[in-house]
Amino acid sequence: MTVPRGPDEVRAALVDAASALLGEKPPQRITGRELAERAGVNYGLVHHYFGGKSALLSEGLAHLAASYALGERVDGKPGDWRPSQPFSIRNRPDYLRAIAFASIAGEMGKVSTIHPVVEASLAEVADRRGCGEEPTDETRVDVAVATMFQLGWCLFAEMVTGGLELDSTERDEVEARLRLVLRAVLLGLDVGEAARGILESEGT
Amino acid sequence: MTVARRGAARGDLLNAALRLLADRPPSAISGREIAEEAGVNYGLVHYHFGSKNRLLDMAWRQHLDWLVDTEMEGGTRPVSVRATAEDRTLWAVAGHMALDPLEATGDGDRRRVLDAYRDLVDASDPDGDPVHHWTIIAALFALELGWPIFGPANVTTVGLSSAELPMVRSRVEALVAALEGSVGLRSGEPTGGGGNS
Repeated sequence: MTVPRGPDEVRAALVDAASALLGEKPPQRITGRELAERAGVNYGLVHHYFGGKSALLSEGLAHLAASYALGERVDGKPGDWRPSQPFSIRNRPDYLRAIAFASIAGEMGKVSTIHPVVEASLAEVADRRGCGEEPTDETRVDVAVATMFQLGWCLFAEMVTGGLELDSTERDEVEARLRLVLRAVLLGLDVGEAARGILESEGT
Repeated sequence: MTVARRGAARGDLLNAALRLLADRPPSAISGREIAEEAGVNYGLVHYHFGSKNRLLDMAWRQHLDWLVDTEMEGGTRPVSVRATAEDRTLWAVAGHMALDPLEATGDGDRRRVLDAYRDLVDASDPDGDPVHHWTIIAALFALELGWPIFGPANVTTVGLSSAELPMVRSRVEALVAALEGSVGLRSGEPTGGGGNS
């Protein structure tokens, strides 16, 4: 491993280290020394460039969010999926894990940037509901619920489908239905009917 | 040490393990930390449980058993949004277990809640479509666990203030009721009366 040199390389190495460690353990368990060690830089540089551990971890999370919003794979190369697709965060287990660890620890609220994917979703849903460009509170609530539903499913899918002993065909069938449920949440349709596989039309 | 105190140590270790699991995933917890948290000798981890992983596994299963016995009234009703959200141990440990699955220890299983849900849905809607049933269970787990874990941060992400959390929670509750209703179930909310099947 080459030693990062100069402000840009050091900053980038530290942000990469933060992004990686955030997916491995809860943020309160990550130390400044670990971050420096992972980045291959001197511990003092964490404070020099970021003022402290928590600012660096926020940068790491923001970095993951931006990379996901661009549809990049874990390795940074372009992915064959789009972030607007249902349950697309599954393509970025590193980001999903980082959000989950930080959320369980109650540290997520400190990163208050409006998420680009959520923002796009707000605009799209407002448009499909025909209520103009500015999302209503109702739309915001539905997008928030849809987002936590997707995160919740991606986090617990293995536990649930494994526990129900579903084979791969059955898992796919459930996934297809859950996409209908997600659509129903976003469009204010009946989620029970969606779970039955009934595709209600929009704007009713 | 007397037999009685050894027995108390067993319970103390189980409680300590659960508290630590709410804080971090199984891989980040050592046997010594559990013993220290419980205030007992490290040797008792092995004496009572054989291994750290078996202790963590038993602690988690014990909590799930408690959930089925109390909140689900022995598996006769689904868990309410309120009960899940108020039980930090439940959603935090479930999250950590999902992030960092503990290898099975061979005794008992951790599927008691899922099994209870499956039996509940099958009994309530005996001629229903299995895919519909699985989807309802999957969606209920995603919502009821997704809400306490991801809800608070998501509310600000969509541009609402935390004062509007109750509005989001009402929506989650309405969705849960609709999902349960489509298989003839109803959460045991204190205000609830009768079924709607």
